[in-house]
Amino acid sequence: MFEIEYEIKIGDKTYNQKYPDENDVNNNIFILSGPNDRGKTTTISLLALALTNNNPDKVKNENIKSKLLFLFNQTVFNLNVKLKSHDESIYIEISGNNKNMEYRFKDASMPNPITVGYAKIEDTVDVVFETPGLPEEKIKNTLVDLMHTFNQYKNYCQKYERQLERLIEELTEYNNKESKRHKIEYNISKINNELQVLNNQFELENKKFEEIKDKYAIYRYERAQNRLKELTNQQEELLRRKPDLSNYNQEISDKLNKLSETFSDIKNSLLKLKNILISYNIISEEDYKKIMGVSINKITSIEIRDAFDSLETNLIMKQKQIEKRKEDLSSDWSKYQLLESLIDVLENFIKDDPEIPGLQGQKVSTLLDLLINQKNALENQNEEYKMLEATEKDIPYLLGKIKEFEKLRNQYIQADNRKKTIEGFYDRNHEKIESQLKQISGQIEKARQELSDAFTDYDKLQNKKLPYPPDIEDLYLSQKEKHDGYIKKIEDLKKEKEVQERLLNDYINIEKPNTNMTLEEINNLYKLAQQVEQKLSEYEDNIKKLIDRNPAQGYDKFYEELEKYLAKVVGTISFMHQERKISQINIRENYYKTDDGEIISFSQMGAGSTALNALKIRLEQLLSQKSNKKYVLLLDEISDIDPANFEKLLDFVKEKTKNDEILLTLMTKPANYENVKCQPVGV
Amino acid sequence: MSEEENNNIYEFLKQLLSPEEFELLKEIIKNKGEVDQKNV
Repeated sequence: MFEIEYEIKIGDKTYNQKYPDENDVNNNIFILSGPNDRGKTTTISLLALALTNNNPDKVKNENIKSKLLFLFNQTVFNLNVKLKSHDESIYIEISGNNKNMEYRFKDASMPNPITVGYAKIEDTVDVVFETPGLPEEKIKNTLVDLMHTFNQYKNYCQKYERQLERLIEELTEYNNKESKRHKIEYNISKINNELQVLNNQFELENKKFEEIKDKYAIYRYERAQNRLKELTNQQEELLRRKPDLSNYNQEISDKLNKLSETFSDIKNSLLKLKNILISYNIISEEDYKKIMGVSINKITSIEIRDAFDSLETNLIMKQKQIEKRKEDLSSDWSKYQLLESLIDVLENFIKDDPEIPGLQGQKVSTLLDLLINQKNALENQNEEYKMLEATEKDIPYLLGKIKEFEKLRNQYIQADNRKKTIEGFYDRNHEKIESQLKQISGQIEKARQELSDAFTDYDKLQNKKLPYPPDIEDLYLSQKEKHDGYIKKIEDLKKEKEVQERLLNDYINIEKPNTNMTLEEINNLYKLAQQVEQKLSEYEDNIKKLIDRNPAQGYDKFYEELEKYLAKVVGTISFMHQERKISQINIRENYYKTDDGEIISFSQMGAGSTALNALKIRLEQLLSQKSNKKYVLLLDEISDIDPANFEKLLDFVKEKTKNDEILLTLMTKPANYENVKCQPVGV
Repeated sequence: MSEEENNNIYEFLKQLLSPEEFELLKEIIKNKGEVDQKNV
């Protein structure tokens, strides 16, 4: 009977497992079949740990010991195991974990299991853990493992190199920045030195300049005064040469105003006398419209003069005719006045309409009608008389105004001619003088400004008298050029210093990469790591070629060391009923070399009857020892044994189980099942 | 990997690499490729 149940944690993963099915627990031989990496070897390894009280050293095989050590050191497990011999004479229960195992035991003499120490188990059970596959396969697996290990190391190297690359990059950048910083600091210090020298030189030059400047200030002020005076004189001279037309303009303007007023009076008079003047042909319709419609600037024109001449002549000519006509109309006018007075009297009586005494019974109304008719007959004469009477004053007035206008017109024309005569002369010099005046005016403005500027420095001297040499201006300008040159150089250097200081700010807080090594040392370390990586890569390649049975040429030293390494890993082999310690495994020529110098070829160790015999003989040796111990047989990877030989091994195990010499046989075998199957083998 | 197995591989590599290379590789493996700031 056998049962194992465990929980195992590797990293953050937990696996639970229980073998075999409840129906199969009464068997003592099992084969765990299934795909690789599904815990077959783990299961038999945990059983081995349980039976050795977590002490892998009790297992003699080095390969298996390392597997057990891995499980013991790098996993956390809990497990329960139950074991009963085929004849049911003993029963063992084990439960525990990495830290502690507890054991319960019962034999035929005991009614129930009791808790025992590990010593009882050690006295009762011995564990045989074997991997009976082909030597080449086993070695190949070891080589593949080694290749993976080298690959892992190579990855570590690459990771290491990447970090060094970053460090090199950071350090290079840091060194560059430091170098720039030093250069800038050097530049600033150089500028400071230059500034000191320049400032000293400037101080001397400035003293000289200040002395000359004071003298020049007096010279400049005096020169500006003279210049302004000279220009003012020139301006006055030019102004004297420029005629003043303002009086002429005023006279013309006054005359034109008077002329305009008189013309306006004439127009009003014409308007008033229009009917008489037209009806007596004193003025034509055309002339009347011409005069009334003329614009003010045309009143002195020939047309208006001619119209006025004609009007004046006609007025004088027709004046007597008008007076004669007026006399002719005067008797009618007297009659009209009488009739008007009589009508006014009679209208007072019209209401009663009495008879008028002395007029033979005629009534007022009859007489009034008669008088009104007489009056109406004289209406036109009366109107004409009144109109002519009105002209009595107006015509002499109009004539007077026309004469006045002519006089004023002549005066105006004369004044205008005088002005034009003057202007004729003036026009010829006008542009030249105006241009000169404008130029002088600008020069005066500048001279005033210069005087004002010069005064500022002059005033500071508080009337101090400083004689200056005739070439003071040249001296001043030459010294000023030097003085300004120094100022410019100093300013330029200060600006350059500011630029450098701003640049320096960018390099002040540079963080040094966290290393005490120089760039060269890190570079050497990087090259060394690359060399190591390169060699590991070559070793990996050499191993691959060896697995492919095509060892790399020129790597004898490598293969010799590899063979020594394999010998150390394999440690011992079982051959001809004996454990042999080996010193070399020659994979290129497929043989083991023992410590005694014996050569055992792989073919002698083959998986056929030799391998099986080796295992069988070993088991027989163990079982033949006079011991009461029962064996737990753990066989890993039995797939490398051919089927016929496997059957022979199985028969042997069945027999020993029936004889109760073997307590349990647990074997592993790869298979393409989805999950691991725990198949019982009937005894 | 057990300490013994590690030792076997180290012994193997020691025979193949120069002393400087071997010491560096040991340090790289020990720190799993991480640069130890104390050493740089």
